[in-house]
Amino acid sequence: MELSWVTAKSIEEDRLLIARTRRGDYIAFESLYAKYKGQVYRTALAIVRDQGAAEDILQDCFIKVYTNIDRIDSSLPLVPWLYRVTVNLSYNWVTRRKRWLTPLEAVIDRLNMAPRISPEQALEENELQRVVQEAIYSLNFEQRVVLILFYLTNFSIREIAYILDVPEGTVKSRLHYGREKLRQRLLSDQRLTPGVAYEWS
Amino acid sequence: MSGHELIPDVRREDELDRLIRWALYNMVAHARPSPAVWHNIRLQLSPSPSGAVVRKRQARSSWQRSAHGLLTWTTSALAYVFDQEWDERFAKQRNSRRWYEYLALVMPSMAAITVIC
Repeated sequence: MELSWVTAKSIEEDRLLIARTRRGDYIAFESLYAKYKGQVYRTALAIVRDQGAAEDILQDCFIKVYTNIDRIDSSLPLVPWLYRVTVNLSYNWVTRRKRWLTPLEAVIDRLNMAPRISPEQALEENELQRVVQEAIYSLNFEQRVVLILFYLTNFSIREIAYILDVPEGTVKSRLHYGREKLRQRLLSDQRLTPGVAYEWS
Repeated sequence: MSGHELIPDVRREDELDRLIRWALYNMVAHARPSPAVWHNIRLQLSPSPSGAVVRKRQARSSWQRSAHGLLTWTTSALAYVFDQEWDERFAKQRNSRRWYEYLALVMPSMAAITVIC
């Protein structure tokens, strides 16, 4: 599997860092962490929308890298493996949280529900951003992950299929239905003015 | 790089695509993990009081396992010899062979095995 954005130089650099880590070189492991911590953290944060949880996922992800270092195929790019672990850990966090916190969260959401605001205010960037983020977060886990990998990390359909280990058709389908759900939700959101909503309708 | 051309029903990037991209980017663009994360990773991977490291250790070869067994056996044998020092029956045999002769027999092999392990 070739990843267009992973250069041969980067793969070779990772290979050397992995080899040194296997020999117990902690500096090499720290270099791997420094290289990928941002990508892993931001992806986890986009999926779970919780800084503490994203940090926990980052931590667990690199502990997995270290404990499985002997089993990692260093001839292949490390990035897809890292994203796969990140997505799996995020899934675990989301399902655990849903089991325990959904009722409480629903109550808090109702209490925090913003009052209707004027069309002028709705045009403000922060509000629009918040509305879109909420809409993305309302998608089911599979659709959300595909959208995040596609729009935030700019992976292609083929690359996302490889990372998630699902057929390309599944990725296309999740992307398509995820977008459609977002479109419908944004169109029906009363906080947005008809003019703003019209642009993507 | 974009995968848009791979999805027939998404076509070229439209307003909704740009809106999703913009919202996601703004949500995480300036996010940075705290230095405590690396600190925690180091803590979790550092050796425990028993000396065991979280990382799975490489499988030991058969000769290493044999050497370990031999070392255990030698240590037991040495302990047995010293125990005999206080044994009355052993005291009777002292005239024929003294305890340090037993020690001299055992020590070189024990030292060699310790180096191997």
